[in-house]
Amino acid sequence: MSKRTNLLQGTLDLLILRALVGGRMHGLAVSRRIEQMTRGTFQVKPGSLFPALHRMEEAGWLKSLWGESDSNRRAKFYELTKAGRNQLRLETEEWETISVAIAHALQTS
Amino acid sequence: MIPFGVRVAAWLRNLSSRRKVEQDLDDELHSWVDLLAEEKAQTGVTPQEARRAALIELGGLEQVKEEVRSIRVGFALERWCKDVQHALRSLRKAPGSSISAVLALALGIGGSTAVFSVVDAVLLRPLPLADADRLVCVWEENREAGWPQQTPAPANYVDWRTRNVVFTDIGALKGLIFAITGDGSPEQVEGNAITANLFPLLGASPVLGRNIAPEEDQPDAAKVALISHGLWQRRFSGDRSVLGRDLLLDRVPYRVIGVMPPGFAFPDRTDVWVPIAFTARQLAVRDSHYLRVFARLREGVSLADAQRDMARVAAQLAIDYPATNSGLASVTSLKDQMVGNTRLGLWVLLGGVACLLLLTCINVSGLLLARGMSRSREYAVRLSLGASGRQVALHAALEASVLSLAGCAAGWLVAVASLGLLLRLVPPELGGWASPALDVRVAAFSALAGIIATLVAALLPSLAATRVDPAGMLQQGGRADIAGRSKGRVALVVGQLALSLILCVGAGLMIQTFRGLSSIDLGFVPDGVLTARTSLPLSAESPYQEFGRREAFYRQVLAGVRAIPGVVTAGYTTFLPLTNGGGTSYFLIEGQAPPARADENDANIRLITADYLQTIGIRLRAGRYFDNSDGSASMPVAIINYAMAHRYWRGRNPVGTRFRENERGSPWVTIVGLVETVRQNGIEAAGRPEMYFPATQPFAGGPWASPRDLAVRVQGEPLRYAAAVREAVWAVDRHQPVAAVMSLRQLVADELTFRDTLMRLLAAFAAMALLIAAFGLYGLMAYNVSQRTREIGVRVALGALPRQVLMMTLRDGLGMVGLAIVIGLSGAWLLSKLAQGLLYGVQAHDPATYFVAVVVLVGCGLLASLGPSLRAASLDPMTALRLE
Repeated sequence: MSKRTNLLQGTLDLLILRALVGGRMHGLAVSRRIEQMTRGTFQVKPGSLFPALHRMEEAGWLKSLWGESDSNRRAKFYELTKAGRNQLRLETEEWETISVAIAHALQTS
Repeated sequence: MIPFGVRVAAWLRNLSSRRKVEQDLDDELHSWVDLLAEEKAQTGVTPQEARRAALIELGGLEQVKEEVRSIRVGFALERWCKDVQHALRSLRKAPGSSISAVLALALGIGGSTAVFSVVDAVLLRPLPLADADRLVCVWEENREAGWPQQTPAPANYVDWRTRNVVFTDIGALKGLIFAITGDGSPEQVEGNAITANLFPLLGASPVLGRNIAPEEDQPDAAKVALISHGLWQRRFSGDRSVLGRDLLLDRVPYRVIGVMPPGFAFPDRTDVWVPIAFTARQLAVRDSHYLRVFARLREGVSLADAQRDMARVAAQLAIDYPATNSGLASVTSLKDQMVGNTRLGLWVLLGGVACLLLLTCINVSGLLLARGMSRSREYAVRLSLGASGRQVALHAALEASVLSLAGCAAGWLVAVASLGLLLRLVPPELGGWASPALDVRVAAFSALAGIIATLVAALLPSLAATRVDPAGMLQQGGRADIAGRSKGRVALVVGQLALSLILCVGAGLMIQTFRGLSSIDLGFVPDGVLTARTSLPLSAESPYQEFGRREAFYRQVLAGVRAIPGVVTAGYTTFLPLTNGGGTSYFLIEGQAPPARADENDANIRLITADYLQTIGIRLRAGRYFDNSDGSASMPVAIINYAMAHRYWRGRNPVGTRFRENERGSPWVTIVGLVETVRQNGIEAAGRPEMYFPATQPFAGGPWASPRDLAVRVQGEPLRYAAAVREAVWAVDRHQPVAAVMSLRQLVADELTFRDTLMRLLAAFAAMALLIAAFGLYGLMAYNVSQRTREIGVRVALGALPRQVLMMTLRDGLGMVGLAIVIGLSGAWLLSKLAQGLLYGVQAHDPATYFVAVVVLVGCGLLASLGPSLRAASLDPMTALRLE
């Protein structure tokens, strides 16, 4: 995720929000889930993940709290807020609109 | 996207618990590493391997932290604050040069601010009248008689009113002096009789009461008056019940109907306005010139259009009335009329202070460049650690900004301190209206000057900072970029020296001008003379209407004054020299044909008492002064001045010949004396023809010429006699105001106030410029010597004499001075041409002034270079070579 970061920042937000639909997760779990959801296409590095998580937390879409992982290690967990769920809905709609438009454009030549 | 409120909340949160936030992030990242290591360990690698692999995947703890920090709200602001702190720290590390930079900037910015406030108040702001740029003055013109602007005669004014097509309205006024008596001490004030339409035409309204009504501007109407705000405060304590009260002007009661706004003294220092109330006879007079005429241009009419139309009207009048009209008229804008000569002077001053500002900015730039040079290594390290060139340049710019900000603040103090001196530059006509103050506009200018200072000062250092080559710098002895910076510093020093030269030339020209003006032969001796004005009321109610009473007044006052111990002699005159170019009359010479137009024989009239000419020291060239034998019963006599004799008698000795005033009933007058010419209309205009009549002999021209100015020659300091002279006047008439008590020397000096102030300011600018530039040169030379220590050591070890080393370094310094001379002289050559109108007695390209300025600059340059050169010459080769 180096050259096309601008376009993909919006995508990353969408993926993170989607990943957290299933409940609260810590940072590593989020990137594993994204990897799983996208069948290995996107592997989010910490250099991109953590800035995104913190940004979205400041925006009020995520809430964070310290807890314990499955292996009883201390970790910071993130979960969706109501605003976050709303944002997820908005971004999903937007994504669908965009992808339909682009698909259209690629079909007609 | 993200609502603003949420952003602010997040920012405040980050601000208040910064340490906790940092610690939290640290913990989170470490926990991520632990979890990943745990994950990897499950695939079979050792815990240490797993941990190492996890750390590699993290990619660098600090980098990730920095990424997270950079997206935080308020990050940019935080980074700005850190940068500013860093800049402050580096400034604090070199307190000496930082303080001197701030001082230099304070002088430049503060000086410009102060000068701008005067320029703004006098030149840029419009007069506080409605649509002031549509207002004009209209004059008659009679250049041959010495009147490029002649006060119009009433009949001409009437015809201008009816015949013009370019003015919406046109009004007039005439100047008067009133003695206010009644409740309170007697006071003399300047007054004006105005047409009823004048103030509405100007757009001036009273703050209290109302304007003069047209019915009141009639000869037999009840007498009313408008008073100035100052008079209202002085004499009526600002009491609102002043409306309807009577004011005794020259013993005649006038009903006060209005008070004008504060500062309003139209046209010039006026305290009272009364209706002009022309009689039909007055309106028919075409050969008595005393009005000032003002008009408002019609919509869409330009000044040039008005000029053409008035020329047409004047030409028509010359055909209709050839005996009295010259056929010429001129129209000037009111603002130009009031500002007058000071316009050029103020622009020159602004130019001078702009030079100073530029010079201080360049000086600071050189300072920052020098500091940059000593911090090259620091820059190299920062650049190699990943700082962008822009960040490093920004640091230099920030330093310049902080210095400029401090310079602006300190400059404000300089402006406040110097405003008092600069007030002397305001022309008296604008006195109440143009009050230079340090207000919002001026503050905005100061801020602009500060920004320009920052840009100029930061330009070269920022550029130099970005061009540092890290690899070269970090190696031992990397001097690749020092040469570039040195060239920059040399250019800056040469620039400063050149600007100083320009200012020196300017100051020199002003000094010459002032000296030229001060050494004008005035025709009289101003030292040791006290003057005062006792203008006798001449209204119908006043006893002084009668000639005998006036004559008795002068006789008694002079007797009283002469009795004061220490008084040498005293005399009265109509107008003292320099104070009034008017009061003229036409005359006919016996034995010569009358001129084609009456006003071709025109001379100033002065009625004087016997000792007046001796009192102020006007030299007698032929014949005799007046004496006690010249009384009302004896033969009518006169004394004329050299200008009059030269112009109208052309080489013949006028003493013994006769002339008479071109006035019905005027007797033939015999000339008994010829005296030196004195100047009437200020100090620059040449002296006009002038004729003196004894105050003891009745004057057919009317009481307007009766003496009002008293001159007293004393032993010692004139002002010490002021109280005694006042007493002498009040002993004769205790209701007579005594005004304008000052020494004659002061009267002369006041004429030169503007040029004097200008000269002092330019000289101060030049001195400051030389000082700052010399310091700049010194700094650069000292640096060069320290850089070349090794080279000098080698030279000396190889046999160079100290003298040769001295010459070598001096040559460097003088080389810069030489280049500066070339640039500065060209600049001064071009710019001084623009100031020619200000100069007197000296040409814009006066060689002597330029030569002296060059010598001064070379002298300063020599002094500045001497220190470092001597130090270079006394270097011990052993220590020099050991140093690195």
